[in-house]
Amino acid sequence: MSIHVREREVVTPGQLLSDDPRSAGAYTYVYNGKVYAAVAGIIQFRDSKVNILPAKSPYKPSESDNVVGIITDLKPSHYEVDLGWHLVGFLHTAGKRTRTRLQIGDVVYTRVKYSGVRGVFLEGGRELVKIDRGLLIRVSPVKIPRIIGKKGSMLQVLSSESGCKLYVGRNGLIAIVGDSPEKEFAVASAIRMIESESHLPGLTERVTHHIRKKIIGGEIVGEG
Amino acid sequence: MLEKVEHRLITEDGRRIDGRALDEMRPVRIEAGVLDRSDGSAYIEMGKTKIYAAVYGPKEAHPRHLAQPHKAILNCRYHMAAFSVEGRKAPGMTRREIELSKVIREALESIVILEEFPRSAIDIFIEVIQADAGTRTAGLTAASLALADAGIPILDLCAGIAVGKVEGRIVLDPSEEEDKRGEADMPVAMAPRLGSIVLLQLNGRMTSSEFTEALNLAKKGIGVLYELQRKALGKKFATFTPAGEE
Repeated sequence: MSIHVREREVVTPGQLLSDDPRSAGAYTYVYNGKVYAAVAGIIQFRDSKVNILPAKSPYKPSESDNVVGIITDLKPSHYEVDLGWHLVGFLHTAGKRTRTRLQIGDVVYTRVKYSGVRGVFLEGGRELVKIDRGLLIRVSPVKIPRIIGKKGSMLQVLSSESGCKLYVGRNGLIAIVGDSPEKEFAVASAIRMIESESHLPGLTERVTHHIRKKIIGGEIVGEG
Repeated sequence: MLEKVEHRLITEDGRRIDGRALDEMRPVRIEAGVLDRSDGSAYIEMGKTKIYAAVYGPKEAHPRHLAQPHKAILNCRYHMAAFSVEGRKAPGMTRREIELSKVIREALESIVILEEFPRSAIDIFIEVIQADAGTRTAGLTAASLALADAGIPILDLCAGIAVGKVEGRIVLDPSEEEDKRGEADMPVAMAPRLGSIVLLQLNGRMTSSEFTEALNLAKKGIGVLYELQRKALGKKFATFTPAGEE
């Protein structure tokens, strides 16, 4: 018997999960050849690995994550980007021709190129999108997969129902760009709903209904 | 004519002044996630001792030169409220509080996986609301739970309890009265799953056999606290279903 936990079991830090060090997944650690939990959360087996889904966790950047950040400083060779919490990303100023000029306070949507001891480096060039209007909101990074949904299904609902474009960062920042503030606020409140009701079934339908009601209600009553 | 009567801390039949047995702890209450404004928090009550712990971060380390390129740094503040003791305590940090902040920080450094968050800092605040002996161990117990509540990766939860020597007998979790009039006081904290002692101090004298007895008694108490910590953490998951499903 090498696995000591069941799917969806609640574990606490220090709990023995498995005797096989190769099965160490997310939020676990190996000590003396055994796998233990590093955070409190729910067990999920995936790709023959024991993973933990935490209730709350700080964002840890990994390569090819899409992120939304705010430019905080301009340096001779790079921009510094605030990714929320403790993280500062570096964005290198490459060739002048391919790059849009950025100012302090600009919001950008890009990809993590490298994350490690040297810091967090972001992709410049064509991958970078400068967001010059819209609504920027912050959610817990662990809720991001729920907002995206399976193969982007929830995101699809959010954008098609409201007509807004969403830039979802793994770091927990979301930029909503729509053609009217009412629509943007409707999406923002729908995201808040997903955040608080992520454990209840039938969420997609309720999100659809919520956005429709907000947008129509907003136009008739003239809210906002 | 007045007669001098000796006030005993332990009765003939082995009961303590508050009616507990020698190896009995005070009633304990532990809760996780009690404060909304912090990233993680916990509350502990051991008899009359009441302590809140809160965790912020990981965030940028300040001042910048203190940041470590390969790991996070821990900042710990153990503080007693002005109204926590009999007679008012000056609200500033005393010599004792600075020392306890240090020993608690060092204990926590051995359980937090600091390498996960390079160049950042994690702030831990331990606020003693009411003090009645055993505040450093109770504070540490709450702080480790607050770290787990914040979702910061840790090797294990850690729990602590004091053992004392009162009238030649080894007692678990001494109260203020026993602490003051006893012969020895030994706070112990452990990370039970790892089997490592993260904090051990001894005030007073014990023989080596008494020390062994005291340490075993402390381990017993820590086991009880550890289960309560796990229960408090598990309670939060009653309504929680992970993201990315449906």
